[in-house]
Amino acid sequence: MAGATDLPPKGGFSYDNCARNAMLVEKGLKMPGFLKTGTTIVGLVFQDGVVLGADTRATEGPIVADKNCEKIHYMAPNIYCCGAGTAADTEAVTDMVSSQLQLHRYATGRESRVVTSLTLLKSHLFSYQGHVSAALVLGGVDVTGPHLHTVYPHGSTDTLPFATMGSGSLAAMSVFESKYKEGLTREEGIQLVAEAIRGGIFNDLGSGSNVDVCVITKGKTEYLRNHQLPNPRTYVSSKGYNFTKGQTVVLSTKITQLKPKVEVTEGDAMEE
Amino acid sequence: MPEAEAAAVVTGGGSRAAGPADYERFITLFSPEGRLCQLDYAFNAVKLAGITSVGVRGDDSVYVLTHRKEDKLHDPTTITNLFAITDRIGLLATGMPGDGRAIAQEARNAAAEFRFKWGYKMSPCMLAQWIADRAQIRTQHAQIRPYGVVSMIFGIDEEKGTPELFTCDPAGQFFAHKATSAGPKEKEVMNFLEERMKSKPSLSSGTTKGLAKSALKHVLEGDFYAREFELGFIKKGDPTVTLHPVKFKRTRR
Repeated sequence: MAGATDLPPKGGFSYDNCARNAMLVEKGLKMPGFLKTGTTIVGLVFQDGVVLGADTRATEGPIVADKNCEKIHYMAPNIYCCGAGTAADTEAVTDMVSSQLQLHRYATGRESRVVTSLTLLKSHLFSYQGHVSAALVLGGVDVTGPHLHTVYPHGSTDTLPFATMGSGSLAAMSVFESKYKEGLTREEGIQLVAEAIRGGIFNDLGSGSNVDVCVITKGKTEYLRNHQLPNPRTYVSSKGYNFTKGQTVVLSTKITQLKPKVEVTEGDAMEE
Repeated sequence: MPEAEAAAVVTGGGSRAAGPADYERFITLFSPEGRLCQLDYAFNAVKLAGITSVGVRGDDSVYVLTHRKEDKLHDPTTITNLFAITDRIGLLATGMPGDGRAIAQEARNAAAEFRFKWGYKMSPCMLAQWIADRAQIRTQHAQIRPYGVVSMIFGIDEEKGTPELFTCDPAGQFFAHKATSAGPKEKEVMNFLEERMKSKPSLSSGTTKGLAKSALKHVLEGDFYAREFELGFIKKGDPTVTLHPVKFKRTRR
């Protein structure tokens, strides 16, 4: 049988490339580094619209670069988009689509549609073959009702009643899978989104700090910045951080002339 | 006079005084009265084709009606001025048939591209705007002449849920209409329609169709019932553009 002869004699792993990689490193090739990104972003559809949520930690590898960044980006008055991945990529791609949507609103005189921003995002990301590192949760309410989509860096998309993205997506998804139901009220939706984000904040190293929420309904959008603050700063110095001025003793003084002194003397007037 | 000399230099006519002939040769040059002569000729070309069209917008439908040129040697099945741009937008091109066909093809491409780029279907208003923009560009570029076509765009606006009827002329103007006409007898048809619309009648689907038919019957000479017509319509309940040839039967009294 051809199939039998093509199969390797044993199962298990192949280590052929290990020798090759070692040889390449020996010859001077530097293996590229990898910077880990971290985020928890979520969205869900409730009975009147869409709720989006995000954490607020920005990282530079192991360093917390920003304790309170914004990951829910404006797209249109009725559309918002959460971004995971490279922060600059997510902001640039949402800014670009936001401006395209504004121009299109001028041209048509009508409200933007979520499917339009989805189409623009996926076309752009696909044309860059995954090199634009932006994983997005896109939500909004338009003339065709509430919509929630996810967009992957390679340009594929999903349309779902609830969605999570980022390194904290598993923690958040466990909350949604266990508690989401259709026909949630606004308060229930917000509470569930906040709980999912807290799941990411406390169980994912790449996510942290606060909970941001955005509630989009027909004709109205509420951006609840720092809706929950589950990680307050606990240590405050009793003395504060003020220091009395004038307490440093002057030990010595040295005066250095930087420019030679120039004396102006009266001279004869120049002849005409 | 310096002005006359400048005008002569601009038109390239040497030292000869500039007359109307110099202004009308250029598509993009205004005459002293502020006219673009080539545009006036384009409007004349619409009438020269000899086909009069009428469009009427009802409460829940739009009807456009036109007739075919009579020629015994033509195979009528191959001649049409009615085009479906998308399954929900139709276009009636009155005027030069070749220009009309070109506009319809370009409009189909534009509608497909719109759908691809923005993710939803083009509305009749956007298509009318696109065609008007395209016509306007031809009034400012010397290398391309204006279309000799008045386009009627009809469809149901998906978002508003209303029937829409637009016309675009060779100058790039476009308007939404309750009723309109194009072609050599357009003035007579429009007078007829204005008279009928004065009382603000409610226009059911059948009434709308009847009004379009009456308008053409009012102005066409010869035996109305021996003519071949083309009818295009779209209704709110079944928002698919339907185009087909018709012959009207004489009603018995």
